[in-house]
Amino acid sequence: MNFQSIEVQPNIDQPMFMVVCSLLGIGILINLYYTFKRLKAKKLRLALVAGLNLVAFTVFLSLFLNISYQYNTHKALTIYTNTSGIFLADENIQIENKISIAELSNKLKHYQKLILNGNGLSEHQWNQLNALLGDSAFNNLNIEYTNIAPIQIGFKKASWPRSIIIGDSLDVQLTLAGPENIDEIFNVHFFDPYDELLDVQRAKLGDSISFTTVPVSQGNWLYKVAIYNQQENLLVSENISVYVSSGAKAKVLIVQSAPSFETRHLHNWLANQGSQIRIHSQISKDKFKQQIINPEQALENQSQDSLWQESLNWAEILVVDNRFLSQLADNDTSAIQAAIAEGLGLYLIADNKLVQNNWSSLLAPIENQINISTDALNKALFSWDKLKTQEPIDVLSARFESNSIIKDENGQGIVGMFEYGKGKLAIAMSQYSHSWRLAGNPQLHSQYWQHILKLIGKPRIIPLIKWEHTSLLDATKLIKQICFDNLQTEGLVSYRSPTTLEKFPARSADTFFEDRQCSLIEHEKAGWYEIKVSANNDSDAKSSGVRLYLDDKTSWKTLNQYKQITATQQRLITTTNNGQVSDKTYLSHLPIYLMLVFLFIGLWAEQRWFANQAT
Amino acid sequence: MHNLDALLKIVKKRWWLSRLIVSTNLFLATICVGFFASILLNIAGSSPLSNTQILAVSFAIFIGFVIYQKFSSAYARLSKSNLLVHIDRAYAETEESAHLLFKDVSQLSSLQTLQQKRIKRALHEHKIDIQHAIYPLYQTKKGLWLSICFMTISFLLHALLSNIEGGSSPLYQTESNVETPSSSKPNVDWQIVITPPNYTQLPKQEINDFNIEAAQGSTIQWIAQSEQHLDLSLNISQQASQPFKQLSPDTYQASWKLNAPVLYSINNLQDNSQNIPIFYTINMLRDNPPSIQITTPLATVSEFKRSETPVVDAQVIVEDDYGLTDVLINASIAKGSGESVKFRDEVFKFDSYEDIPVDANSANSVKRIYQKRWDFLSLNMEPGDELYFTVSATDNRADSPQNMVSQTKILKWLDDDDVGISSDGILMDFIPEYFKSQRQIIIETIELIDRKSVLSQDEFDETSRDLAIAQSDLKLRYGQYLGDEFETGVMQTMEAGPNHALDEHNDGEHEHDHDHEEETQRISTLTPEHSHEHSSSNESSSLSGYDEMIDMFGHNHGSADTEYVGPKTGQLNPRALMKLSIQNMWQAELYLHLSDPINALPYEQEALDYLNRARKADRVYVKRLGFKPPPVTEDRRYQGELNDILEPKRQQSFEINNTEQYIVRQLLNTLAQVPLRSPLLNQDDTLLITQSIELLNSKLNNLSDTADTLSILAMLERIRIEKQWTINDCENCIKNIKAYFWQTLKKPIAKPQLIPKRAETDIVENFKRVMQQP
Repeated sequence: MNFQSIEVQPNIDQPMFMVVCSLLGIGILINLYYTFKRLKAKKLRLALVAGLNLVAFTVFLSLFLNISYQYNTHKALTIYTNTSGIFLADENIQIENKISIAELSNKLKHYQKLILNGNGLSEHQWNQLNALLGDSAFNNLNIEYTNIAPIQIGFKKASWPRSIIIGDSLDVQLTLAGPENIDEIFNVHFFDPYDELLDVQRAKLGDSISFTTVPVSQGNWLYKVAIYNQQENLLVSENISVYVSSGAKAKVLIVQSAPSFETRHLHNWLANQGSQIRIHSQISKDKFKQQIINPEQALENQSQDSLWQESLNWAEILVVDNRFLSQLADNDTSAIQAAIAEGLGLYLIADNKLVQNNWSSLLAPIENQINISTDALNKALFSWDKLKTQEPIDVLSARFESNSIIKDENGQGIVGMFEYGKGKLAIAMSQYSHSWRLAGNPQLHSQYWQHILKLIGKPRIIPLIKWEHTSLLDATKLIKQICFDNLQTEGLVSYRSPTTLEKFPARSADTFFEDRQCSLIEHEKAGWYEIKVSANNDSDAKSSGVRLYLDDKTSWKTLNQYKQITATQQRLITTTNNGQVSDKTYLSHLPIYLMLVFLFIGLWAEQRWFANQAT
Repeated sequence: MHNLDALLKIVKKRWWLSRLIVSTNLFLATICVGFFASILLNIAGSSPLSNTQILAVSFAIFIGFVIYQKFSSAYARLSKSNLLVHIDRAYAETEESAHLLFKDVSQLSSLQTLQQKRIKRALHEHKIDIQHAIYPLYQTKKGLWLSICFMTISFLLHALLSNIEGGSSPLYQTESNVETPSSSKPNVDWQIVITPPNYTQLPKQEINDFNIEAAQGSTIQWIAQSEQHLDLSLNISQQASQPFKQLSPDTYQASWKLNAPVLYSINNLQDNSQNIPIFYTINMLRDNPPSIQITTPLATVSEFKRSETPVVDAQVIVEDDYGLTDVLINASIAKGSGESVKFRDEVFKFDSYEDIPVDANSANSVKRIYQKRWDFLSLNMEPGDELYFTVSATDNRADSPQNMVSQTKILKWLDDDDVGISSDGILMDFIPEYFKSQRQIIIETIELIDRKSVLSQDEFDETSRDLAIAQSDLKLRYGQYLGDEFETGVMQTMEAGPNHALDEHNDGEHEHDHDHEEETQRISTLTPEHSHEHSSSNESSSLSGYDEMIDMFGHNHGSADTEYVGPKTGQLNPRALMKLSIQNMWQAELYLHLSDPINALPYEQEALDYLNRARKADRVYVKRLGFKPPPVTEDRRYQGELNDILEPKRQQSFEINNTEQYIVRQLLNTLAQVPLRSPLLNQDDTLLITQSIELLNSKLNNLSDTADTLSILAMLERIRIEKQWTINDCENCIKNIKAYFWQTLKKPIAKPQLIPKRAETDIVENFKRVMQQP
């Protein structure tokens, strides 16, 4: 520490201070006189007592002063960060001791400037530093970020769904990164959980690539991506964790003016997955055939009307053809409208009447959004997400110009989706998706309907987990934020690892959303964790049905490195860096009081002792 | 006169006796506590305390207590003065003068003598004998009774301990019965004798390994020798258990004939504590039927001109695991043509055969080259006649010999009237006869792959290149069909190969040799965007070559040519499909030039698939003529009087399909949860394991290599028996089971997916709420 200056100012009015000084001066003189008189024969004791008296006088006087000192403001604290932690460094970046964030914050109280080298600090570490220093000190901290560490070869961006449903595809998007001077082509391999090679792609640093596969089974799986150089040497290998769940059992209501193959194959698929289906098929002018498949409980002796209303409340998706919709009575149409507005999803099978803009009143609220062009072929290849069909199937000669969720080979919409209150309405220009099933491709048929249900199905009030990012906590631990929607209680979230059950309270996030609670998980070891949610204690903890894989510090090094660099660079932008904060430190009066007490006791003891001796 | 020293000695002895009894009781009490603790530990599932541990602790306490007594204050108080004080206190008759009793009269004064006499008289009157009246405070009898009680309790606890399941009394446990009894107990010598069937000529084997691999039809004998009486049974999966027969007082035997791969275990029926049998595998080496390979003539149809005198030397390689009995030629000679054709069937034998050396691993197999000379004249054949022949081989399997028949070969002696040479395979109208069809190329590629082991490298390369040339010719011809120009002899269209950087079919077996580089240079000049695995220098030259071709021909392939779906019909565009087919032909040709028919085959098959789809897409469908009813309008619909129509209501439940794939997926999902859940099996888990075991058993007979399946089966059986997922001495069991079943799964049927409600859906309500907050 270099003292720049010490400042002493009285903490009372100056005239008053003069009075105090005078009184103290007179007092000390009188005291010294009597001391001299008493101890004139003993010079050593005289000197000692006199000295103590003078010290006491000075100390007593300092109670009326504010003493402050100031450090050299231009001295900077240099630190170096890497994957092993935070290290003190000198100006030449010679690394010294390892320190923690708390120690860093203590040191920064005496420094005006922080010079960062290496990877920088993670976002969580910056937040910790902010909390320890306080907003004022932190925002005024002068930060300089130099000598950014060279990027290791690896992936600087990686995204994939952590949790999917069986049959859904796992899409992995990656971006390579590494030192700037490398201009080599790398082979990126994608392996299944048992090290079978699925795909290989070639890329240079900075390129983005993607892999797609369909996991063949439910469960928690670790796929792998690995970077090899041209000599087939392994450079980097990372886990791609995915939890494949067995999907939901949907509640589907099918209402049709006549039985059709499309709905038949649809309900066959749903029934085989255990979903509940109710089918109302018109078989006469005013007669319907009812089928209830996989009912939860027997529905008996219910009238048509009550079953209809109850079904609308029960269903998550309604499949209906346009002919039936057109002939519905107004009150039934209103009932469907209300149900959709509350979240029910509607899949409407279009016909030529709809194409000619002869719509049911149900579509009136959204008719402005529906733009149909009738200049199209009556066969089309379907495409959605990354899937493309190989054979064309029959469609109406009409397409949606916007709001498409299923497109043809020219990018025009075969199935359009529209917002309708809280629900969604999809209109399909084809009723021949079952031809894929008949052609021996039931997987394609199931993927089509899985995509449709995912988009338009009524959202369920079940815990939804939003995966937030992982940040470096310290040299060994990572911290991950996970947010839950629809927890409905101030829940306690526990994460069962193979060896421990750690609990982290899910607290309401300081965000905009009322139904969202977030939780921070600290972890060191990699592994699969099971997430359970409970109100308060272990006994009622229920599995959320989701398993989560947490990496350790050795994984995704390049990604973490990028995060630290980005967090530090963003922090540079947000801090004020004006260096105007007062750096004076005032001396506390408490030690002065203590010293005074000690001195008085000493002087008193000396007098009494010798007084006794004398007597 | 009483002797004080002697009296003190007596007192000390009695004191020590009482203390010893206390120590003994303490010793026995500690043993009882030890037994009780063992019982509690057994109930809790932990291992009980051993005999040695309890005795050691008890003895330590005993010794400790004794040593403590030696140095205790109570022992120190046993002194003469204390003894005298004790006597004075205990007996009032002594009148505080007990010390006088132990002194000689000569040492006493008259008063003391008088007092002594007085004391003695009083003691005598009260019949008190001090020597015998002094006892230690602790009653010896009581101590002995207590000892007896402790010993009784310890025996009872021991009996209780030995009755608890899995427990044995530590007190009576000896070295010989510490181990868990098992079928292969100590003092049992095992020998397994495998006697293969005679026809295999395999030697008899005697092994000690319980995991057996033997030829189909072998007789396996398990022989146990032990001085103790054994009661063993052989349990083979899915069969009734078989008790061991006692051949002699110390020899027991069981035998079984191997006809299918199985698991088995050996149980000791005397030992009730063995609850978890060890499963062993019996892997069966199947006796495969003979394999026949006709090396000459190679082509299915061979033709000879009229002017020739056809003599064909046919050569056939026949191979079998153990031996051949009959190898015959079934021939038919066709004379005449049209309706007057006549067939003459004959059976021939080969002229000669020669044995070929086989691999050391399959020493008992037989491999022979058979030769037969076909002389058409000696067969009374004439020009225009045809000879069809197949080779039939029978092996020497004892109970049911296996017969295999080869493909038919045709030898044609042509007449002069036949024009040209026709090829087999499917002919397309626009393909000249000398072109091989795509299907023929695929067949010959498969044949080449199968014959790789018998061909030399040069022959293999040459055949592969011939196929490549055939593929190239076909590709050019289809391209010509598509209307490409050939004035320069250079293929000017397309077709970059398919957009694969490195296809999944190519798993590192791709050879980059000198020929390849030359070839890629040649190919890349034709296909500018083709094949990323070539070096970038080739790409730059090929790009410039492509530009030149475009400039030269000025040919613009419009978008209509490349639309996948025809603009007018909505059908797939046959030209686009043909182009896709040709793209694959390019790749196939590349790999064939590189002598890599394995990687070429998928491209050939895909090319054929696109060809077929193009053919199908090119078909014109004509609407059926006939009565076309008027469309039903809504006002006419459902107008009939249909009072008899009921409104059926039906409820039905579908069971989730318990197919093989479903069971395997359920098992994998459950196994994935193992680290995160209880290791014990519940009812559903047990059912799942049972279903999986049944599944594997049903597949065993159809598999050629059963070793992996048997080991997985053994693991599942152990899991089922132990009723827990984690098996003690098999850390990788779960991983191996998962890896095995993962490979068997096909692409799954997608399941319904309904997403949870997101907080963002209430963004408007949240905004209002936040705005309304003070």
